[in-house]
Amino acid sequence: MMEREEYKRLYTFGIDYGTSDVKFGPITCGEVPQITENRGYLPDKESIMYKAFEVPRDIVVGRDLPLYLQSSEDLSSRLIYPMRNGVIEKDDEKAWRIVEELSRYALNIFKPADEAFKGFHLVASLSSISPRYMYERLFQIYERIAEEDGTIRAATIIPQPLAVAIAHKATTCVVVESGHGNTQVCPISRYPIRNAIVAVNRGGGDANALTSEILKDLGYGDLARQESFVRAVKEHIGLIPVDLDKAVEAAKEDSKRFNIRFKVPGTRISIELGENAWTRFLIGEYIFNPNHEVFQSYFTRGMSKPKDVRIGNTVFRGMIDFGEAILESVERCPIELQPHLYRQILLSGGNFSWRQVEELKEYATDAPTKIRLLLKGWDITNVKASMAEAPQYSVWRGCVIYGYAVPEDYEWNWERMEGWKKFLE
Amino acid sequence: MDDGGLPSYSNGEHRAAVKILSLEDLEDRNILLQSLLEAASKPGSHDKAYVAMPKLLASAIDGRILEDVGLGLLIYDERSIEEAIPARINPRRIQAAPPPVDPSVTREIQFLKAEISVLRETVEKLKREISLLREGVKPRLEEKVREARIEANVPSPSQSSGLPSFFQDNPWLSVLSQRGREEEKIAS
Repeated sequence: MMEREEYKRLYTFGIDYGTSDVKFGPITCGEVPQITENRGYLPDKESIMYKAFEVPRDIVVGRDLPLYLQSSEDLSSRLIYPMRNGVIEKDDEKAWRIVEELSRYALNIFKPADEAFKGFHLVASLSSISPRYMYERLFQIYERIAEEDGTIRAATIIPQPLAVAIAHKATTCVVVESGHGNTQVCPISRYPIRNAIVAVNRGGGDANALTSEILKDLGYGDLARQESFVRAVKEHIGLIPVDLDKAVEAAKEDSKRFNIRFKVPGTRISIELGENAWTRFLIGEYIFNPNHEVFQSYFTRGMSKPKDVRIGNTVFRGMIDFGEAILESVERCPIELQPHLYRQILLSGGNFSWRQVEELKEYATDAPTKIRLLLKGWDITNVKASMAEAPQYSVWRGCVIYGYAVPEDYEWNWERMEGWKKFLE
Repeated sequence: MDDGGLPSYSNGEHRAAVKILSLEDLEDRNILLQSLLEAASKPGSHDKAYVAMPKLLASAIDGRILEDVGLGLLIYDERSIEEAIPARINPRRIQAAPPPVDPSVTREIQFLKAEISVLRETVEKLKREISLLREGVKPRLEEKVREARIEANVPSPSQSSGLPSFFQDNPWLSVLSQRGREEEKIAS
């Protein structure tokens, strides 16, 4: 048996269950992990196509998934994104089966032939608001995989904001992780401060919904139903306004200056905003603060308003702006700690990646500046906000560092929610 | 009382030592001379010295010689004793009374005594502290050794370690390497 440190240097494995994608791989991947969509397909077993496959499978995951897709009509019921809002319901068996299949898939890709291999030290990362039963179910899944595939020697689970802080070498900070379905604000002071976490029921998916409404108003109603298209449009045209009123006014006065055309790569489809170029600013503003009256007309016409919802034990706030969410979270921490937390706010997740247009910088800004402006509105001025480097990969990187550094003999502790669950000796 | 081997007498102010000679003593000239020298030089607490001899022989003594050396002469017979030559007070024989003490010296002595007392307390305190340090050093050394061992398990990666760049200078490596050890430290 090789030395412990040498073993961990080879066989520490990180897996980040993001709302849209799963990022995974061993420490030997270097800077960048593998990525696959966090989804699974349950084929219709009665279809001729299914019966024609040599090795019929109950669940299809990974990069070959598109090859198994059948009619578009049953996609909504058979193509499942198990962690769309960061949390899986306790009795959502389909979702749990997909998570198990994705985990096996990720581990088996990197399973080495080396005889010295006795399973990975697996570090998984979940949303900070994941309830305890998610940890329990995940450990049950890992135990089965360890027995059947021999790919897991020991496993642990950490909250995503902690992983982000680790990857960014910040031991005292606030991590704002914004994904597809929700946003988590989590203060860190060597440990995640769990009772100060604020969850927001708003993420990239809500900006997609607004973009879809804008596309309908522009006459692209048929395309507005396809999520991947809507997402691409959002990422191309969306802007974060410095001040929404001023930006909209300027864009209405000089729409040519703010106009944009978007052509879908590999197709003949293109859209142009023209006189509606001002709507570009609504997309960004909606993520950070949906309380402006301009959004009321969209709610009136049927777009669902972000609601306060309870998922597991956590209440997700629908309409709270990001500045207030950070304020609320930090103010649950000790007073002495609060200034240090404001001085290091890390923005992580794809929902903070927005285009910068140099010629429009008077009206459009980036996510860290928007956060500073929102907090300034609450009279908090000594703020330093920054984007996480490589936001897509930072959780995975934090997982790998965690797995490498935490002593192997530290057994899982349910009170502290940390340590290793050992499956193989 | 006896004073240096001679009988001595005091009147309250002075003490006189007396060498008593008999007729038989004076039969030998050497004994007379020896007795006179003994009375003149005998050390003691007295400040006067006398030679006592019978009247019969006193006429044979030259009184001036006795006066020159400060010796007194007592003559006696069966009926009386007379002081023929008074003895001179000899200041060298008076034991020196302690000189009067200068008050500044007294103060200096008191100050030094206080200083010594403080120093004594300081020494005692230092002794106790050294003892406590000796007791404390061993477990601390053991703790340091344990920490060094733990840190040795998670070496700080160098450029050549082959680990990804995000490991470089990452303070979490040492923070996380202590996970599960903090409670042990508190317990111990």
